[in-house]
Amino acid sequence: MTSHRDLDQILRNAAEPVAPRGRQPLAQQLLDDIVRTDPTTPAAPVTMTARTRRPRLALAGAALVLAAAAVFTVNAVGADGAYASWTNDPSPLPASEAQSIAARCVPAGTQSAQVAIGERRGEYAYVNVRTADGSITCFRDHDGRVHDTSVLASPVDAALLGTRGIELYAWPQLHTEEGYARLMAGRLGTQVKAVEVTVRHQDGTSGPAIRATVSDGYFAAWYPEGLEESNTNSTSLTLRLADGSTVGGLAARDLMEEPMLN
Amino acid sequence: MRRPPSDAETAYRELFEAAYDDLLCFVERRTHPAVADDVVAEVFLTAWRRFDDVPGPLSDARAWLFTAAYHVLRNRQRSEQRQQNLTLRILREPDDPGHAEADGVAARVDLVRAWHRLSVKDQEVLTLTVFEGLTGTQAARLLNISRPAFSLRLLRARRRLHQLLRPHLDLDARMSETPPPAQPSTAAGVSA
Repeated sequence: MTSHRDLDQILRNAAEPVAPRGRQPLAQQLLDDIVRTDPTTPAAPVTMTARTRRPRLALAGAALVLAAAAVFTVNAVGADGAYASWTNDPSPLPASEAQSIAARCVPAGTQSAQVAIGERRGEYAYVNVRTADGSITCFRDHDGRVHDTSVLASPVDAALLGTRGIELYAWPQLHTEEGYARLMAGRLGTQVKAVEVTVRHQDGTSGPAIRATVSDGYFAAWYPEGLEESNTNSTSLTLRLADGSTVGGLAARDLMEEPMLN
Repeated sequence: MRRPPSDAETAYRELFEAAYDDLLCFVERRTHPAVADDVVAEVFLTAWRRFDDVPGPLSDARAWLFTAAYHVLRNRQRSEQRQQNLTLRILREPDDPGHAEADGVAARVDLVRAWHRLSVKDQEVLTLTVFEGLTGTQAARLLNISRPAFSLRLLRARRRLHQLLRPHLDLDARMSETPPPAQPSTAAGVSA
């Protein structure tokens, strides 16, 4: 009969081999970014948006962004009725409702938490909360459960955004029982009046424009996202300015690395 | 005792280099590769900020990192009520099981199927021991159970795996004809 030791070895031999990855640039970048952070900062959940994304460093400290999601099944947009009531166009979220969602999402004791912007799409509500450390995204699903991810990122000085600038300070992915969703939040220059988000699918086609909520210099949007789409990260933004002109082709991935200042 | 800053960074870098691959494999086995990097980054950031809590010996430090990652994953799964769907993705199906003339290939298929018939709890204790190399004490601490309870759970998991393989008692003989994987890393896992 096979002994425990023999069976252990058989199991090891049947395992998928994996090449070492600790010396790859992504890991080394992570290491360098971490040791540049202030180790006295209290540990807190942080989130990252894309697996290939290089964490952005802010002047006051590193902004490590890690994605919060546990994953098993992936639903493409609209597949199997996932996020069926989601809409390209947002609808307003009353301030009281936004505060209520934030209260269920923001950890007790969080410094200087303020709702920056909120919106509804179908049965879902999304609120972005600015804090002393960065921001927290709060997502209420169709069952009323509130999911949160946090991003430790020092925002740029709003004045640097000028008239046509944009900062995408949060772009986390989360996962609910309906599948993946990608959330966005950021700040805008004074003349930016609308933001449209375009998601390019795996097959190269683009979905219809997703209109973001814009309010008081902030913008927010979210959309269902399949895993393959999340890996391509070819989402782009178009800004519509007060004078009728547009600034298009802004890759979300690039904006997460560096804001566009003006 | 708090380490001086320069010593702390040096020690932390050494830990990162030594444990990165193992931790990434640990996480990839338990969640989707698309978010594994993020969980690993979160755990290493926590380790940096709580470096005084991280044990000095590498074996214990690895266990500390695994435990931290386990809690991060558990919290996320708990919120999503998805533990039932979690199976530890360890074993590799042969590339072409439809042509399983070779005994080694057939044995691999049998083993993979038996593995997938184990409960998640059984897979977990076997994985912590066989693939991740934790001691019984370290694994018990990670699972937040007593050392004797872990030993019992491991014993039962091994028995169940044996039972699932009972029709294939010559498994070890047939598997021995299968060459071990080329260039195994410090911990074998699933490829991204």
